[in-house]
Amino acid sequence: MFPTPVEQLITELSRLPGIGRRSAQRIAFYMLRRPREDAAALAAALIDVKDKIRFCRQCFNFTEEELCGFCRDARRDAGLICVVEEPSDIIPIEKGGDYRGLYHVLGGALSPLDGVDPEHLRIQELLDRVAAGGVEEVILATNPNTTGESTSIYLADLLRGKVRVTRLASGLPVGADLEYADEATVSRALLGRREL
Amino acid sequence: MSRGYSTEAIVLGSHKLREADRVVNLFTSARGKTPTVVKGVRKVGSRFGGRLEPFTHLEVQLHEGRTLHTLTGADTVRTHAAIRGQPAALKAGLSFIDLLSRTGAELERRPRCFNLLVRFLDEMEKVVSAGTADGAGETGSAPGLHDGRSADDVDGAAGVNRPAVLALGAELKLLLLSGYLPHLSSCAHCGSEESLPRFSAMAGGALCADCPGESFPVSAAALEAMRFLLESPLAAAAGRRLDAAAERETWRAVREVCRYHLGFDPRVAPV
Repeated sequence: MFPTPVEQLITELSRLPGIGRRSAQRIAFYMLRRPREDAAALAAALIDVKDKIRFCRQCFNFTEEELCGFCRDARRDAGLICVVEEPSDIIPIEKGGDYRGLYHVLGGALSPLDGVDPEHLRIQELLDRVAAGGVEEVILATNPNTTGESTSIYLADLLRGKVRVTRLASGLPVGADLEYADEATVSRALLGRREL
Repeated sequence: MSRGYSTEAIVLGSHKLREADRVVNLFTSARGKTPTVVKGVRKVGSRFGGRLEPFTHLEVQLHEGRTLHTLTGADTVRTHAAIRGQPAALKAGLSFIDLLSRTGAELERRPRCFNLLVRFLDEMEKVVSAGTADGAGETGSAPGLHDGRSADDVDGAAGVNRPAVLALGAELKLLLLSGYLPHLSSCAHCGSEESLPRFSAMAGGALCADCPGESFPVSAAALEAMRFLLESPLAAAAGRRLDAAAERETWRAVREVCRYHLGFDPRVAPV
């Protein structure tokens, strides 16, 4: 329907997560209207990110250097490791502003139905970090869903006795109405209640 | 004409869609497997939130779309949270859900399968509660999902992996409802009721020593257990004592039937 280069661009864009063919067409036509420099800058940024970004040797967050900014920062508490599923999970924790420890990115969560077993995650690397010493507490911050919970239970079993293991609290979101909370969340909130 | 309707549903699983949505695989009493879009469910403030975790029994309001349905309302009937908190029960539950979600077509009404699923989850919750009361199945200390420990370890006192036996019972019943009941009392080839030392999915069940067919050895105890699990209510299956070897043979028979007749390899073993 469109000239070959446009079709090719639409095909490539529609491979991106959350972008269907119609959205891909809209982006393609937007880029056609933009000056050549804008397209060149986007292309250069894409190539740059592929060439320069790799996984941190220690925590497996994204980094430009051998160690990421968190692992290089001597002001952060190296005795605390917060275990997350993906690098994107670090962002909300950092935005919260209360955590000053390090991270460990597993690269996913255990999911037998999807064929994700312990050897597919960076679990051994976490155990090696703990075994190397200096770690006082591991905070399990996997998602509060079935795969995240089973990953946390599995990790807690492996780490118990070696280091203090804690799990992120779960319950009612700040600003929400109790009336609209689901039963599972309310149950968790009651279990995790604290004294005032 | 309104295309909205209400039905009971069990959550089988889900995958991410776009920024904050999910496609949740529901098994409904009205339409069987029903892939359903749930908008904004990955946001912290979603009103559906924890209601859409696997095994949750819901009363849902759905809007029928061209390809996918959309969830417009959900009330919890039972959360079955205990099953998700006990690794052996979670593994057994996922095993049954895997088989159920890979048999039958989407939007094919299967009321008997829905009833089987509801009863299976209710019984599994009882098994987990009983195990926790005994101290055998406490969250965080029970073996099962990924640790490679044997089935016998799951309930050491009784020597029985009760979630696995319950799942095997439900899976055999599912094969029966799907039209793939294996011959277990006589040779699937010649009909002899003498010794039946082998099982062949290709032949359609147990085989005597003389009949041809690709097969694996099966013990009399495993055949007896399979017959019991098929003929008894699920509540009785959960109480059945089954040694680890018979469990493995029963699972292998289920797996071979799935491979040969249904064309898929089960992804999660309950044992």
